[in-house]
Amino acid sequence: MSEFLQFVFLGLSVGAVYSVFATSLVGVYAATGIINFAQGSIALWAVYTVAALRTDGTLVLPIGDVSLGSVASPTAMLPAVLLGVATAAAWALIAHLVVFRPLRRAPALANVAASVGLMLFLQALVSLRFNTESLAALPILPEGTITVAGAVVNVSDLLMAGTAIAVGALLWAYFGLTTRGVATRAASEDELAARLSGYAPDRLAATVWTISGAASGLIVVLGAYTIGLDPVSYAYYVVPAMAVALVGRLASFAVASVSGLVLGSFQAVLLWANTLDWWPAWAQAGLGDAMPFVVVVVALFLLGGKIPSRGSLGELKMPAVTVPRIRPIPTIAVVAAAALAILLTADSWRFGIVTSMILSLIALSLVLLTGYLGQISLASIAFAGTAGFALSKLTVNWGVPFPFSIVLSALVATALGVVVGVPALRIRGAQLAVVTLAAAFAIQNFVFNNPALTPYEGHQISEPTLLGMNLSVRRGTELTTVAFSMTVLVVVTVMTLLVMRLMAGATGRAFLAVRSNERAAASVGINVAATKLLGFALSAFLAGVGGCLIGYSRGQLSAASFTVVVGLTMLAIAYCGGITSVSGALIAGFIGPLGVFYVFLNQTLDLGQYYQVIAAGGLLLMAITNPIGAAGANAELANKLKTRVRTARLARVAENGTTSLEMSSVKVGTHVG
Amino acid sequence: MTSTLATEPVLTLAGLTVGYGGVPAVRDLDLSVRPGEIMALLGPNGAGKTTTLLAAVGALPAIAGTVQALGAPLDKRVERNARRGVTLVPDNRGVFHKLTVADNLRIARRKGGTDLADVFEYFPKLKGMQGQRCGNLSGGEQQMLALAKALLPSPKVLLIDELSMGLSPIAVKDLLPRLRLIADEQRMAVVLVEQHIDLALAIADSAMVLHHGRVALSGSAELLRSQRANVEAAYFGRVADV
Repeated sequence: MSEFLQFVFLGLSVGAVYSVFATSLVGVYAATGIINFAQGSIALWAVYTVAALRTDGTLVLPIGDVSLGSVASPTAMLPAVLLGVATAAAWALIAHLVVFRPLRRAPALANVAASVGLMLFLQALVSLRFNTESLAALPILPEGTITVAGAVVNVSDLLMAGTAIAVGALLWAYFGLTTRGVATRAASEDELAARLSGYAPDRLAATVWTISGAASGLIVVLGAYTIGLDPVSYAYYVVPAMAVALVGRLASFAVASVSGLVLGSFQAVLLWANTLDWWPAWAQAGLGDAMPFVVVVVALFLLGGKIPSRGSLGELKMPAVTVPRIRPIPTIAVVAAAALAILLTADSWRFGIVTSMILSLIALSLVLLTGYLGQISLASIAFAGTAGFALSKLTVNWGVPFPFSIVLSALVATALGVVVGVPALRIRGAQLAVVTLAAAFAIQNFVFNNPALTPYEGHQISEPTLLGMNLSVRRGTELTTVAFSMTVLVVVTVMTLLVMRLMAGATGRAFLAVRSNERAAASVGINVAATKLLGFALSAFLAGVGGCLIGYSRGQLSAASFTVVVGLTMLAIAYCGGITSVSGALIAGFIGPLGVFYVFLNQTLDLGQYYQVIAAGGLLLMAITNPIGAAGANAELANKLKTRVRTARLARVAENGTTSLEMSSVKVGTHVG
Repeated sequence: MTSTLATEPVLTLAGLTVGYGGVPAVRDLDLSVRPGEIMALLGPNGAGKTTTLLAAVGALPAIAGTVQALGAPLDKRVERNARRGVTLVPDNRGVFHKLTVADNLRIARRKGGTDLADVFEYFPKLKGMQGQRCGNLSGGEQQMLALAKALLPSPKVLLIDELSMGLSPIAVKDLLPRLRLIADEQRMAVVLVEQHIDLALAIADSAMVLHHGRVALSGSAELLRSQRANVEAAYFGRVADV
């Protein structure tokens, strides 16, 4: 019993981080309506700033650094903590001023893409700017212990929990008791009305961003010694934090604060359970990481009626859609160009092209689900991964031949897609993004990384053959064979054309109807629930095929190809490429991880290590300057040019006084809302 | 009605052209209101009434012309104009549905503004509703709250867009005379956009009919009341001589 209690208390430090992240998220949501995926990354910068200051007195800035001491006399604890917290506050303020304020009238999806971009950017920047290998966190809180009911409890864990509760209480008091706080909530509901009452919504929001950034920075700085320092995990603490914030309906500071602590303790208790004899082997790893998803799903079903946005009549602003038309000449040109590129390149360049083609298929799954159906999903990469792992089992254990192996594996992903899609029947918008992210996180840690589910020799995949032809990716010293590349090209082309055909027809219309207004769609006889599930199923199937191709292209599957980071990157890239058009998916494939753009950076410019910073920074820039995505911007530009040319031609015709048949050829762009 | 129209105007629009994306919705408009005056701004849908009000609080930038309020040019920021005493009750009422009535009123209060008790005298029903969420109020109650909220800081110029939108005719008959009383007592200049022509003209001092962004008819409310046919003609864009 005392051992159990000990673990309950041990989990409080991590729980405190969840708790403060969650209350910060609730605060930012109350002030701006934004769910900030970058909350953890902002805190990550603070914790490394403090570590660097206390190691050798260096204040690391995004560019350059300032020396405030030396190894012999590093910065003292208090100034270091204050500076660290200030950097987190500064990043949060910059995020507001540079990223989210310009996007306040942009589609919800632009905000998700931008905050994901910011999360990846800061995380990559931390890895580049700090010596993450050698820096360690030094203790800040007292290291003593006390005994509670026979359990030895660290004072620091209790202090962490106390800090978390204090932060939650302060935020609650600010929003509930101060006029400024009330005005902040008002401004997030109706900006013009708040301004007419004499408040500047930007400043109110800036205050909350700064407070929440400082709070998140502080709790991580305080807890880093106990929890440990690594450049990835803190950024992802935002996932459980979002889960508990959703339990509090993104509105209750008290529920978010307490649930965070409870989740932390519960995860620690699961660790303790590993020591029990009867505890099953499969549950020994990753179960704790699966908890946020469980929490979210349970919360949805218990509180479904109360979670904001459910059944709300307010229309979600979405980027305009380009209804695909299959035009033979451009299609043949693109396919021929790809084939030519495959033939003219070799090794890593050809591998980059193949990867880009596969990624464009995964991006297409996002275009289908997020762009056309309006369901923001961050789980596509998990579907791809699931299919990849199924492929390994199917080909190695049961000898299922290509191409049936791909179809069957993709069907496994499809089944999973439908399961993950069920919460979408109850929620929408950025909150669905949270749920799918929690799902992806659970699948990554509980399935892909679970040693109990991983064979001793790793996830091998048998080489694909078709009618006696060997289609495998490697032959001898050849890194990427033409046969494999062409196979990928054929599969991707066929799938893309199928999707285009589907989207141009009745299914596409049903998707767009559901996207723009669920109730209106239902009123004209569209089965909204079935349409959503169909969207998830199709999208998961596409992603699954992509995952199988990734599997075949690697020969052996590793979880690293399907991490949540890759998934987030894919969504952000797909958004910036143009989430509402097929060409956007192609652009996304081009710039996606390990694709052609990466090879270009790595081989030609020798800047491979900067890929994530460049890609994430570029994404942010794209999301801010171009909230409708590159393909949308291109289409708009093309339309403008076309209109101008036609108008000029019409003017000339009018001048000549000839009646013209050209009048009838003026086309309106095929954009629909 | 008021007999003190001789004082200086507190809001003057001169040669104002304003619109959306460079396309004018209101052209070359001249308008001025004095303390204690209620001006009824009338016209069919799309006449440019809301556009005029938005420009008068700084929410839309002028393409040409000027807006002077309280003896100085209008600030570019709506919130600054509001703090100076020029504000608007927008056509969605501008109340905050997620907040309680008390919180709605709380964020509207200012030092030197009207006492809450005085505002409750105008709208006694609100007093007992302070704990309720604004979203749960009826349309008429929300409109009262919107007016109460707008009155608390004691604005010098109050613009009201479609006071009667979504309200029953009975509720409108109840609200408009109260507005007259408030304007008189607080010496507040009011520009009232209204669809109920007769009700508006009954409490107004002056009136203006817009059509396609231009003034089709303007004059004292008394005069327009006596020339009801001309008002209707102006609604359809026929400029009458008054």
